[in-house]
Amino acid sequence: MSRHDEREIARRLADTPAGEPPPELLDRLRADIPEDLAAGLEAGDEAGAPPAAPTPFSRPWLAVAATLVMLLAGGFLGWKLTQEVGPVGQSYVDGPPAAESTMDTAGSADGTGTGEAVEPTESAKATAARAVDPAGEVAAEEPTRDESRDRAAPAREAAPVGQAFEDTAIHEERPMVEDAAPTPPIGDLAASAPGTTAAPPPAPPSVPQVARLAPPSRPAGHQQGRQAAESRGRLASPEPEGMGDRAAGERSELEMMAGPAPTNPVEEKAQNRLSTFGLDVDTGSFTLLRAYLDAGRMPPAAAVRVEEVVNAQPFSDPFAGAPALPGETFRVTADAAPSPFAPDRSHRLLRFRISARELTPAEGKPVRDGTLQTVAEEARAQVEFDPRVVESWRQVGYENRAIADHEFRYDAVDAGEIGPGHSVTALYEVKLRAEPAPGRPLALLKLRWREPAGAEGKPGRFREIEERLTAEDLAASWSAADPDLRLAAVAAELAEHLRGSPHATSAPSTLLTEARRLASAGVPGAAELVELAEAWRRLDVPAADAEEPGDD
Amino acid sequence: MGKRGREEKRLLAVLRRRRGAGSEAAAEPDETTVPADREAAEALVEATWRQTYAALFRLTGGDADLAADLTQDAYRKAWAALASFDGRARFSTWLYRIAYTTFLNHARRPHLVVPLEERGAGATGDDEPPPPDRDGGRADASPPPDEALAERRCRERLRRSVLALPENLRYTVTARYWGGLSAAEIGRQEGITATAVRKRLRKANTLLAARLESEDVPTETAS
Repeated sequence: MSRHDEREIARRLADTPAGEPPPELLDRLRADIPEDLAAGLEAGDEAGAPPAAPTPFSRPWLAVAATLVMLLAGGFLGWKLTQEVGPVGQSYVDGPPAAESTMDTAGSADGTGTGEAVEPTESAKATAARAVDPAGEVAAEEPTRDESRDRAAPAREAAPVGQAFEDTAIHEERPMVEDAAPTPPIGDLAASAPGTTAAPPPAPPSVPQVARLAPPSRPAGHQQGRQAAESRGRLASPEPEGMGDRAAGERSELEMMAGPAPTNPVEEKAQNRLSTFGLDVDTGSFTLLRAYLDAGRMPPAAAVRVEEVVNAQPFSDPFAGAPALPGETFRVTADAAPSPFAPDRSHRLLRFRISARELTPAEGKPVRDGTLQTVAEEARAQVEFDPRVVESWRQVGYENRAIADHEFRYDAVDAGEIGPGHSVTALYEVKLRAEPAPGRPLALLKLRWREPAGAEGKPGRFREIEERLTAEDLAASWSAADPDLRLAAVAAELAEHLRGSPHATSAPSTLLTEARRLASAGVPGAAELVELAEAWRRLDVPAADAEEPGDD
Repeated sequence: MGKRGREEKRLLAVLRRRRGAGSEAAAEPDETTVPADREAAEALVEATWRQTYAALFRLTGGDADLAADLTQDAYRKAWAALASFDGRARFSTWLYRIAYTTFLNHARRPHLVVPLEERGAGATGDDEPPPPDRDGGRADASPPPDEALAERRCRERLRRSVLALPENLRYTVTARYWGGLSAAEIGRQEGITATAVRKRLRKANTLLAARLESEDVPTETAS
């Protein structure tokens, strides 16, 4: 007889421990009750497909009355939302440990500055590799788990590290309002103090107009995701349909987890302003795909790692002619340009290149024990996007290197080992809200790593540095972009095509043209990419249909 | 509808009385109406939060922090969608639907995916607030002895199997056993009879039994 008969299953299901809710949860829930429940009551009707099964009006008079009320309440709601940041919004400002932030440029994390007060001189270096001021580094404290657990903020997405840009909550809470409301010019945005509201209080817009545009105060997140996906049509994995209309085509949590080779999704700024990943210098994937293509075969899609293909490229040496300063471990290059592979003109390809110093003569002795010499251990990076400038972003590659945002300073998390002279390039495809104003930061990179153990075996300390990417780092055109960035883009796009990524939307001819252009300009590595791209075109089969390895 | 149901109904009536006055209250916030609504809303929260949390705690496989966050999320969504509550089932039943959807949406977010083996399946957030302790911070804080560990693995296997059920069965099973809803309540919410709900439960349990049987391991202690 089965040990798992139905009755037993039912008993075990019912016996699943329920857990004791944390007492402060009740306070959080109370605090979340909207001030204006009446408006919420009406606004829900606008949702069309609220989280629960939608329920059409059964009584006609109610429908008429509600339509009128809805228009009024919706208008008020829209106006009100532009007026104030809700409790969640506030939590971004005064919640998490912003003080931990290690800003070395003006503005941003102090909660009073405008966040835009970046000195023009600081950012005027454009794409040139910038030596990070060692003074800007801190010996970061080992965070306690308690610290990162601190949930003083009721926000669900409690900021795990200091937030450099402080007005996301506005976007998070009402992305559609923001889209609907006239966007103030950038100058106005820049002048507004973060932590209050983005826009100066506008006169309440005319009611019908806003009622039409204002969002159902907060429908389930999937709705926003869907709208965004529809409008853009390139979400890696569109959010699931609402529960009501999801009868068919179910995918379970487990199926999702076991799904095909994952690609990083497009992140709505509203959802997630942080990107955290372990630094990876592995380039094995490139070697592998080259071997396949040289042999006239498509590499298996799952074996193509975009970041490894990018990191295998022979980029220029940022330390050339400017050796590492004392105490300088990493040098960061940050730049961006309108990529020819992007879906449209509002996109930019952002690049952070993180280059490790070479060994000093003192360190450069033969390595004992056969161990690899490293200059940094447990190295991880976190990129924070400014939601005022960036509408959405997608990290190119690094799917397997993602680290939970809140674990950026959780040093027990496994991250990358970086050897001397190694460098890591992280690319982001970013959709801008508008052309950023001069001096305006788009993104902030934080690097955290542990220094190697000293000679006495004493564990090294953790260190952090930061680098900003500002409007000055944006090349006006692709041809004006740093050749390294262009080479990285070609490598990434080729890899995306080879792995059959949904993000590989550019025409193969675009890729070939760009690769040939770089090769003819003598950019190292470009000629090889041309060969690989041509080999790929000759095979001309989608990566998904490629043969599996192992039969020869 | 039991005692709890009647209380929920009464509280909702308090909220809904404001419905007609909503526009006026909106156009010109009225100090006197809001507190009454708020009181009722708070009472609703107090009447339902433990059950909602418990359901999410079970759905997330015992991830206390995540369950708390999802609970908070679910209530936010509930307030925003209050008007769509039509009273055909109890508020808590409707709320369970929202909590359940909230959980599924969370679990599906593709960028949150990490191997289940390494962390609680729920604790996949990369934008989530603090994670549970990696070493056993599930239901109990201290590292459990072997037996408890086996029991937990067993539970996790069951949970995964539940989550892999077809949607209507999955919803029904979790609502009944983890959400603590009666078959009649589930039926009201879903617009089916209680008998149909029980049929679903039996079918689901059969599927689960078969699935667990097929991947049975020696540590199984259910015999």
